[in-house]
Amino acid sequence: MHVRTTVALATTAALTAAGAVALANSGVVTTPTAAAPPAHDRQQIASGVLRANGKPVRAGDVVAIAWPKAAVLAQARRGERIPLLPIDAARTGGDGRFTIEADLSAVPARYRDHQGRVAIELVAADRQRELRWNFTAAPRATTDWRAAAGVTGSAPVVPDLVLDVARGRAWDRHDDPARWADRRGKVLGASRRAQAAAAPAQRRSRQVGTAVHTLQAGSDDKTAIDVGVEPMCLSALAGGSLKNRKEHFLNVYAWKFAKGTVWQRYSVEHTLGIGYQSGGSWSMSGTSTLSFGASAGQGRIVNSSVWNRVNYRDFYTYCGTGRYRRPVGYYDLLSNDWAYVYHARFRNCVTKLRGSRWVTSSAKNRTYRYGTDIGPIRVTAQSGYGSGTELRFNFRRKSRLCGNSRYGPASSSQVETRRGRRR
Amino acid sequence: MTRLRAAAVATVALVAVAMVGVSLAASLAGKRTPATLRAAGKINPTAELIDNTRPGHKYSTGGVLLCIVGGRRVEITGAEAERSSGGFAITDWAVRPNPWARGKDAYGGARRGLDEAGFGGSNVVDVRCGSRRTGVELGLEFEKSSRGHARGMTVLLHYTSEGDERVARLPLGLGLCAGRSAAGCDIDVHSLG
Repeated sequence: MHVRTTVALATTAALTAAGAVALANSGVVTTPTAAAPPAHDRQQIASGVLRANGKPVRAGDVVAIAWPKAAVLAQARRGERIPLLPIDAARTGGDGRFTIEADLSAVPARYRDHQGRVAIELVAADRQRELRWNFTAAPRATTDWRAAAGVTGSAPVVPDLVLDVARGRAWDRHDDPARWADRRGKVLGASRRAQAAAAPAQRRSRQVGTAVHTLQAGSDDKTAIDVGVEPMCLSALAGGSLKNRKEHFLNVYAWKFAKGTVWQRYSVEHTLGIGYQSGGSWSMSGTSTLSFGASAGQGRIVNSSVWNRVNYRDFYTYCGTGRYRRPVGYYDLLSNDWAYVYHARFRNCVTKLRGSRWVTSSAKNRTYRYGTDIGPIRVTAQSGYGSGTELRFNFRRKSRLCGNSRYGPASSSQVETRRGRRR
Repeated sequence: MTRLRAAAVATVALVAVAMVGVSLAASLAGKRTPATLRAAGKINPTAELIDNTRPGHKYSTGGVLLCIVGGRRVEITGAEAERSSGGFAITDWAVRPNPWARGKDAYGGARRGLDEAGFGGSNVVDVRCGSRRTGVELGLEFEKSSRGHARGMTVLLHYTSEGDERVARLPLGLGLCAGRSAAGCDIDVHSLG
């Protein structure tokens, strides 16, 4: 049983304090008038366990810092300072566990995308070290869409993180790296989990203390200046852009008489890895989820990987020496980057007759370990969760349609077509 | 002290008598917990479309596993398609043992009725969700009365269990197209939820 401690932080108060930080940076210091939001608006946005070399970290600090939405990051001038917004902090219990809560509806529009989602960076620290991990928090109304639609079991869930600040590893139990796929679509397996979960761990920076103090300032009705925090530590500096990077969208496995067609509509969510450079080395620091607001389709696909082109941008930290490479938008959907993939074969099949079509809307696509090439490293790419991905097959001859779920193709996250059995 | 002990003994005796009474009443009533029918896996919204179809002809499909939660068995008493058009109607339904559990293919559909497709007449589902047998395969037979395109959006299964009448909803779309062209004969799977 973990103990939620310390800074019981009203989000609005925290936001007001952060606003004070921003104003302080621009030379104007004000006293915020914080109003605590209704308790029912707060929702759990993350939970997890903080460890050091596999052992729970007691009384560790975990702070959640909101980044502006992708459109703001994409349009920032080079060299512009980007204020970041601390929204909650927690102290780990004796078992190392923590929970992070926030009222996402109270977060300013600059930090929320059109679906109300907020890009969050978690900084988890023991006394000497810290580890950074990013994810996108969605309001309940968004995450419950599948439940509302009567489709059970696949609604996005609150991340349940395993963070090891000494080994530099971080992963979400709901998106286990052991189940990620490599380029060919093969599952990584438990033996490659540790390698895939490598995350940036470094010496504890001043940002954790700054965020905690800022949040305390908000809850105590004081300004950030009153408690002596360093506002610059809650900022990032916009750097250069990297356009037109390849994103692995999915693999289509089909035979020539039952070719595949892929549609991605504007509601498709793309969860793309974030690169982080510290001390000269790069690693992945979680993900950011974007919707591209555009639709595209491609047909007549046989055994090929399907790609999008996305834009990334560099951001630098003020406290410390870190550099982020974050996704900020798309360049081209279903780009002309076809690459042959080995035809994966699944076990649970049905036989489809000639002259029929089969259409599915996959709830969640696969996570590709090397899904996006952002220069020095490749980070994950995963699409789905939205209702907009569609895969269809047109059977021009008798064929077998097979899925990777023991409940059959209709329940599978991956399907393939192949020649039908002869009688 | 003796008084306290006597009070405790009396309380225990009363509780025991009450429990026996409740259990007797339940067994006399003969009412068991009704089962809930559901798809064995998490079904993604899925549509099946057949080209070159004729009115009055039988078509069928399968490949969806059903199981029960809570009770002993359910009996499927009816099947219908929501938001149907073009005279689309589900005319028969049946279940059979899970073919994947025996390493065989499930039924993917054909231009014929369920009788010819190897489904018997069983409408009883008694496989619990999460069990080794996974579920039973559902077969649906359908037809259209018009010459044009016909379709049904979302399948409703009516069933009874322990006297209760219930409905299960599956996000499956079925389409019977006129001619070979896909144009104008499609199902938006995103609306099947």
